[in-house]
Amino acid sequence: MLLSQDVPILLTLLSAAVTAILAGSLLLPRGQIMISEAASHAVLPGLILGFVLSGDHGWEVLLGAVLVIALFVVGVGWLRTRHSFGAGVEIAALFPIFFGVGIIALSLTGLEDTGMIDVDHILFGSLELLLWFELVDWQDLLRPVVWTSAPPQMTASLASCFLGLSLCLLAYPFINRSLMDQRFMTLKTPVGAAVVKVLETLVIALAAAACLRAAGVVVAIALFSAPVIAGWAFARTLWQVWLWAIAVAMLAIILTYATSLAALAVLGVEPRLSGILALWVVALATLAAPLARQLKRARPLP
Amino acid sequence: MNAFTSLFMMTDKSASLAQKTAVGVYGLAAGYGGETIVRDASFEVQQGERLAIIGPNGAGKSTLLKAMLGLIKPQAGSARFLDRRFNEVRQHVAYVTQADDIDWRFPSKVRDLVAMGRGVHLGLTGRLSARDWQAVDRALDAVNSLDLAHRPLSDLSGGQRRRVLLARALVQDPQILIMDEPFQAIDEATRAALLSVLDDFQDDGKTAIIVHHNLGDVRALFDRVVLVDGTVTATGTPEAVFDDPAFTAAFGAIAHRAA
Amino acid sequence: MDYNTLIVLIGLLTTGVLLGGFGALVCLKGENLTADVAAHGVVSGVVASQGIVALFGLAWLDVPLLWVFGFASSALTLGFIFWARGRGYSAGASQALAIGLAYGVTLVLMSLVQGFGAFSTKGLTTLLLGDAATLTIGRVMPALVVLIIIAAVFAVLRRGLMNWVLDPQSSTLHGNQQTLELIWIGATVIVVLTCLPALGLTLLVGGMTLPALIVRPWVKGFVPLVMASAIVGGVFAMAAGWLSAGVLPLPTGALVIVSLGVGWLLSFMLVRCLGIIRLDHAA
Repeated sequence: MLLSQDVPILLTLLSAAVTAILAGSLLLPRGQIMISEAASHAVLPGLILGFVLSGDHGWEVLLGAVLVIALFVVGVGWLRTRHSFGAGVEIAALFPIFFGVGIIALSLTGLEDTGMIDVDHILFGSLELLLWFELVDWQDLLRPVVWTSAPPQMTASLASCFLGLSLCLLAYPFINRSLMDQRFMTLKTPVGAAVVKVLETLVIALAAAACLRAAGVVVAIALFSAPVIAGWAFARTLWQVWLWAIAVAMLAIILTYATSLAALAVLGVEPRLSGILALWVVALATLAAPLARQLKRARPLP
Repeated sequence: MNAFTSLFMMTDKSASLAQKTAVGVYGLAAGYGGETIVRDASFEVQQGERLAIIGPNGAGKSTLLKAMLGLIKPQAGSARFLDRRFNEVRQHVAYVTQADDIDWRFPSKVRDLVAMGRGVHLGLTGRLSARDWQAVDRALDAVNSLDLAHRPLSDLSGGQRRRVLLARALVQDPQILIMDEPFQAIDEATRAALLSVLDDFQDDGKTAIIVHHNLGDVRALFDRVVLVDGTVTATGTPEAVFDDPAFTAAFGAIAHRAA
Repeated sequence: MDYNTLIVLIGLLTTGVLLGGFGALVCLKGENLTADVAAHGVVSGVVASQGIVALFGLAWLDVPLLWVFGFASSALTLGFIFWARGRGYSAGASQALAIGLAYGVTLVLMSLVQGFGAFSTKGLTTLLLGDAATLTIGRVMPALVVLIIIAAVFAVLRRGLMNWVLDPQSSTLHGNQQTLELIWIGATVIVVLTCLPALGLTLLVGGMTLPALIVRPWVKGFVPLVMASAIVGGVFAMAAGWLSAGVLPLPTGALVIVSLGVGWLLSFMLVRCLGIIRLDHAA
């Protein structure tokens, strides 16, 4: 194992997946999982805004993402009650506008021409380019100075994961109640309901930003949805869903690595890691329900 | 289904032909996503009968109706209409869905919704002739709703929606009418209009199968009752079904007294 | 106006009309996100077709193979959604898994195909974001033919379609469901394939959704809604293309969608100013 190459990839993927799982577990029970697909596209103008303000891949980028996703989620919620079409129209209407604004902003700022933001990397991920030169030994992980040279995508992803996990654990009882009956909670504890809403928006934004900078826009939806769908087949409570989903994501990452190595050995080509990961998580999600049925642990499908 | 039951059903089915069976359900099982909600359901309805399907919440009444009509794929068994498969006599069978199944914000007029009922006679294009439009107006008139003909769907109240859906079924000119909880949450005027239409329908020797919730008026409204509780647990006249132990098992003693 | 600009504008007009009109139906069915998935499903087929062309030296079969593979992969992706829904998954979960699958297959295929130098990441980016400026008469003509065919089919089947969109259950009882489902899947994939070069698959769903949202408060009937959406889609696409070609040299696809977004905002504000409440919470 080449630590400087593999550790950043593994840490980035796993932390992005955990953040996405937290967000996905909040969206899936409400039938709003496609918000994650939309949000991972809609975040683009926020990233560009943050980049223009900071001039690098700093914290402003994450802040920009959070702001734009908050706007997007609020917009979707508001629009849901305002149109007379079928389900999903509000998402389908808003995310192309946000993405279109992002593309125009990219063109206007000239960031792509200067090579400072690469659309290909945003769309398809750049896991293979994550390198942590200072990491040559496991013990280096304990040296703060080594962390200063860590790839910004990885630190942003880890920070998103830590923040998302902390928020979800702290607000667990409220989230649980909100998922069971949001209207009742809004009636009985409006402040709690509002806090959960803000928290949800924040977690979605963190996950979208983390996925976008690590695995790319295109596979974000797989990380948001598939592990949670797989976890759903076995779990009875929300925290069990999280644990099962994280286990599934870890298994998918291991399988991704193994597949990549096998492809390199047999075919002489190294398929994109984000693509293999997407296929593995979807495969595991699809297998989970029949497996749970075989093991007599089946839950109603999400 | 064991061999004895199977044999019994074969006999019963052939016997019922002479009695002009309108609808026969034989060992039907149905559910969603691999889960079975109704299993081994069997009963027959004679022509001209008005039959209530009753049962507690979640017993599978609507699932049974949908499986009979092929709206969900039966897991086992079959349903026959006028001793034929549904596909062969679909123009003679009308289904009045629950009002919630329609998107009432759809940009269309009441007349267009009712005209859908003629679609079964018109094929894929659904192009209506002047005679078809006259039939649409007659059906609306029959449910006292001709004044709604040119109103947008979104303007209708709950009771008006029930009447319009009934008109859509009537315009098909069916022999068999199948309705899913038509009397739920309606005002007295709408209830009276529905009953009047049903009486006329039955006077013409036609058959109605209705999923019904209010046990209090089953005796007054229906000739026969089928009790569904995961399967068909009792059939017969309202009195016979209410006295059946299966009824108490399904609804409890309080409901038994109320009925 | 030079010849190339004219072709681009005609292409955008056709794309806008197709997406607007078909999108109105899609919106009424609430299947926008399924159409989005269908669009994503096309890409793996396109990548595969390019790989086969390069591997076997079938340059003369480039376009037919692209259509066949694009159609097949998109239809398979839609088939996956129907399969998942049939197994009991919700619409959202099925769509999410299908998109994940489509993206995964695309990226893995692309890695393999890139080995032959047949398809680049840039090529995939063009598919995702569109490139209206490169529209040629060879791409615009099939779009025009598709538009004429779909318009003719709509003219013949409009009442049957309306019935099916309004109450699919009723169409099932009348025995039309399977035929209309097949027509629907075929039309969705064809419209997506036709409009992909101009707008790209990421923005395409906006072209389907926004025209219908713009016109919905202003029309009462089903056919007027479809017609008005088609007109609005076409006009906005052409106007944005014209702006992009001259006054505002920005990415055309993005400009089309953002201008539709502005149009929607204006329509919404006008509706509020005029007090039109026909559509708010009608149910």
